[in-house]
Amino acid sequence: MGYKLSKYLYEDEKEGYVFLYNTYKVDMLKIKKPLFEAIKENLSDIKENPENPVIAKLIEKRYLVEDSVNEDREGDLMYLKTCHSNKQLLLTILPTEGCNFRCEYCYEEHKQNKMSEETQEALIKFVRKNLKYYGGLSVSWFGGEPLLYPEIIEHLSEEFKKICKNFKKPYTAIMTTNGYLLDYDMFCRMKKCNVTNYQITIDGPAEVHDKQRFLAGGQPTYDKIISNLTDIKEKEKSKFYTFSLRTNLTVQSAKAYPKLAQFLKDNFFVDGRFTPRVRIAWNGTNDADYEKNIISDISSIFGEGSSLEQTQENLQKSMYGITDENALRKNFNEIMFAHYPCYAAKANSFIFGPDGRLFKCTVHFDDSKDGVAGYLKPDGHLEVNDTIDAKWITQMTAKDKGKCYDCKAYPLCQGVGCPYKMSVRGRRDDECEAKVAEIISTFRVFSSNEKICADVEEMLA
Amino acid sequence: MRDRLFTIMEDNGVEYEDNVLVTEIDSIQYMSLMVEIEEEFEIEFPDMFLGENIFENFDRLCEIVFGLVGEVA
Ligand code: SF4
Ligand code: SF4
Repeated sequence: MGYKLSKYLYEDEKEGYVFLYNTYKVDMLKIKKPLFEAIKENLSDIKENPENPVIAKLIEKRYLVEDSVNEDREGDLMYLKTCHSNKQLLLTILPTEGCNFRCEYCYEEHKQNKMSEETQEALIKFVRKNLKYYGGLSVSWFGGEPLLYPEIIEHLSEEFKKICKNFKKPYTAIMTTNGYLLDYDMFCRMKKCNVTNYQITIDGPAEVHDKQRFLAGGQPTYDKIISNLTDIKEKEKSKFYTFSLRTNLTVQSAKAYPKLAQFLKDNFFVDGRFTPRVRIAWNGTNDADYEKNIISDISSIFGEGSSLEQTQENLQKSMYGITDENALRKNFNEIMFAHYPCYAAKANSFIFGPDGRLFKCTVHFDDSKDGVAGYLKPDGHLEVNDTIDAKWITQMTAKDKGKCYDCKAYPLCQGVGCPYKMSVRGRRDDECEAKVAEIISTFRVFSSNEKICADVEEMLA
Repeated sequence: MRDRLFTIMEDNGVEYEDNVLVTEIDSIQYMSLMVEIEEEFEIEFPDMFLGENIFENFDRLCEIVFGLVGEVA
């Protein structure tokens, strides 16, 4: 029969070992170089159920695949399972586009609107009509700032919970909030709405955060957010309420990041419910040059290295070197998860604006050409524009997709990643290169940890 | 108490046959069940139960939950 190395492996050499980074299984291991070379030389002689335990392990973890396997088709299947699944009905709901903050880099228009009762009822009817086709309901509260209207969240959650109960399906929710209104009382109200995960942004120590993220009247917000989170951390004992603390890197916040990181580590990341998330602040364009420039500015703060790959590695080292061992695996999975197709690429994902408009992407709301994919009618019927929907929930053109078959990132990105960049606007080679560089550097950074990247022979010991 | 627990499982689409779990629980169901049980019985699951599949057997689940309720009471 014979075996071959999976095409979805990156090979890296360090200290007498070959490190194998597996994008299909999102896994990695290391293997002594002479042993790896010997295995490689005899791949065609490997039989089914081999006795050699190292080889058996490599097959089990899909580092080796049978010669006859067509991995392109398996990658395609992965795309279908991820983006055309009916496991969950995924709703992102914007009770308002208004916000009490005016962040320096924000792309939203801050329309002071609020979801009407009529739209709320239409949404409830939509869920009632459609939940039977799915395995459960997951809601993501988004905005604007969703906590400006907690009563809308409470009303909709109560109705969703009733519908889920009738259909015998699970209901879960998450929320993206600026955290200013999330005091302990509000957190308890949201607990009753099944909100179990929050994404909250902290851009730096007070002096940096307050310059980037201030109230509509210009007042600071850092102290209030930290005091809210501290209160919740101390009063809430359940392990199931989690917080992703996000930092948007600008040159200013990157300079102050080590100080923030130390503070967050000492006060929050020691508690496994809090995890870091670091992203380049978006500048309102989808400009790869902007990202490259900011990365190179930031790299001068974090360390030497001029290539994009080296810079990203330095950056990630300083970001993720801050958490304890237990949080590492979670962080690794979270970073890798960010490369999977965005919800905008999923046929089971619907984003509803306060007026019942259907969006696919939470960034390009108001892109008049492709942003609005449909409308929710008062009777709960969703009128979808298939021409627009198709741009988001199908893969790119055959010509570009051909390149994905040669790309080792395909099992992660699945040729969609950010469908706005890859499909709606059009794929760019330089952005794909940057993505691949980021994936490799993430593997590399975490590979120094034995818990995540073990020696294959020691795994068997 | 047993009935309340059984209703939570049922409402989340989880089924048992002779006390043995016959549903494959996914991560969303797991999350939904854990928070609902904590909320309903005013308990918190300690770390020792997080790695274990506590839903595998309904009697064992009752034992764990009622044990935790007893500790709280
Ligand atoms: S990174 Fe680019 S080339 Fe690679 S799979 Fe994604 S879209 Fe395709
Ligand atoms: S499609 Fe792209 S820009 Fe839109 S939400 Fe997804 S990742 Fe962001």
